[in-house]
Amino acid sequence: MTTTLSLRVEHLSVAYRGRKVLDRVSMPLLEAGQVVALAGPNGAGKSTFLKALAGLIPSTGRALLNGRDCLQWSAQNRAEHIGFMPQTLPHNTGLTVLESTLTALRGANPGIRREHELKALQVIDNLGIGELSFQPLSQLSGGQKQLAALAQAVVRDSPLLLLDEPVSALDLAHQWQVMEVTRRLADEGRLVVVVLHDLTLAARWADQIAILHRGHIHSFGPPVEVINTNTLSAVWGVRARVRLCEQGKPYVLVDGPAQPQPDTLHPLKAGIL
Amino acid sequence: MQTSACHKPPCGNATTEERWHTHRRIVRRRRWLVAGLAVVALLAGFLDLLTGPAALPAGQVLNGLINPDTLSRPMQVVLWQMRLPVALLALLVGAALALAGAEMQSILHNPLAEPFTLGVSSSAALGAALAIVLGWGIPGTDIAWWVPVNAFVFALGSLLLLQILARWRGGDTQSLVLFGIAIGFAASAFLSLLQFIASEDALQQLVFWNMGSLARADWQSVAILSAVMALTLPFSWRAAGQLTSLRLGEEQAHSFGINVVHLRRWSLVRVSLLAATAVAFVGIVGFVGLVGPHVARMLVGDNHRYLLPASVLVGALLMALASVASKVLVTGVIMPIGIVTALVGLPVFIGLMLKRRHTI
Repeated sequence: MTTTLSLRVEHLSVAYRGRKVLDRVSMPLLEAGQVVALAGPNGAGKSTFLKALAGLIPSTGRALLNGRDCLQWSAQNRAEHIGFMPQTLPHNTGLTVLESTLTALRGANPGIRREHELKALQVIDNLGIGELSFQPLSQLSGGQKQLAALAQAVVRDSPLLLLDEPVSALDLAHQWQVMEVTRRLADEGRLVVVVLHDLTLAARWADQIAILHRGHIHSFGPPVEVINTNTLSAVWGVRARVRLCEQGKPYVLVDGPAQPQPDTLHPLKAGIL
Repeated sequence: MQTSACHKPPCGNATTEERWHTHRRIVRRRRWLVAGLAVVALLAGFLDLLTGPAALPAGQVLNGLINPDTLSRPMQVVLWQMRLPVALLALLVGAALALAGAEMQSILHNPLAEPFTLGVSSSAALGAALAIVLGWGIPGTDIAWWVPVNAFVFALGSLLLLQILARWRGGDTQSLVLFGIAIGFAASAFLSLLQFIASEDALQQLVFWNMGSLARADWQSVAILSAVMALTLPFSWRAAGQLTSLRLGEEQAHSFGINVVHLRRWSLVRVSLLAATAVAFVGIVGFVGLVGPHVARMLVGDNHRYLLPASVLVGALLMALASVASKVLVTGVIMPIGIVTALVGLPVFIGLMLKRRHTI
């Protein structure tokens, strides 16, 4: 791929029943070739951010893809530029891995040609699940299903890929495999925004990490700048050590919950009541 | 997908090209299965023609279909005015209900969905009851058509009301199902009220209508249902790929570039037309819309390019067989078709649930 893609997010907000899940989130310019990890505690708004970018939920603000606000695009136009991988696939679908990948490739445009079928098979092979091509999704393990969902996201060659926790159900070897594929997709000229819970994994593979906390960007930057004990304590509420591996990438060792701040103590224990 | 539709996968180190050939073999097999279903459904329809109190030999029936003059006058009447409309209506009603069920299960992500679970049957019965018990009909229509017209209007109206209510709540699947159930209960309550105040004759007529029957079949009903099928089938076929993507979840379908709200709205319009027309002519016929798509799914998988035609054919086949069974179960009596489909459908459905607990 030789696209020169850029994405700038400006004041992106999402509200559910009056509660702001994302509050005017902005990000610096993201460019093709980058893997950007989104991290943060549960409920921080990571998946909501991806879904809003993918146009799956109503939002306000702007997401400028090559200068044009993709939040205003039609679903079909967005599908040409954005590949989305959800956290989970329905458990009861009888479509096979190949059929689901072909469905993703076909989208709203009917007509399957031989080259499309071969391409879908090639994508499945590249993800190491070729032998599952004819297995129904309902019979796959959680990890296999995630790989199938990844195949659906990447098969259209979209220049922007949004991956929602692609490794959450995978073992170590498959995590490595998926992240390696993610890195390769970026190196081929895509911009990959990926939600990751594992900060060590994020630090190993991502160029930039955005840490979301309570609907806001807490910090953004290269892993070595973003991952530190203060952030871990303030955002996740844990006491942790951050070390650097031989390649100079940070990794995290969690020792336990952080010392609670007085205002977060139970009122009775804090002696307020 | 199911074992019958899932070919033995090639070994782990098969090349992409080899896997492509396996894929083409699966596609060819599914096409043959759909063609085979069409033949079996037609044979079942033919068997339906042969079955009845008056003996009609197969050869004579075949000749009579091609050249009616080869039959005696009474035989002509039996075949062309009695048996053929019944057999064709059975095929058409089965096809319409199964197609409606298949689309509904996909757009609602609910394997238990069919038009009747969303209150269509109760609403149609209420419409029929208003004509039978209170003598209410649409002004300007022939009195003989009040029952089917009322049933059609109420069935269609209930689904349109459902759409409006669900749209008001954002159009999600959960709202559709819950409002559908609520409409069904409301219609049932009004129906019970009408039954409570009905005269003995009207009550008997109403109960019989509710049981579902092909006895009211005539060429007019066959023509109208054929026209509705001809109108909806091309649009269903055109939406097959989009309906397939819904099996991967609403978000996925949306991310593939599909306008899910638009797809669901028009699919419900098709379902409304199909179910309302079918129920208007034959009354309440349960389970075909539910079981037909599941049997089809077992045979050809979840890809709607095969699932929709297979559902149409399985539905037609089930109704034709039910029609035959309704004539032979009790000698000299034609059982209401709704009873037969429910009696046959229930064990089939439970069997499917037990066999396919992972995918239903």
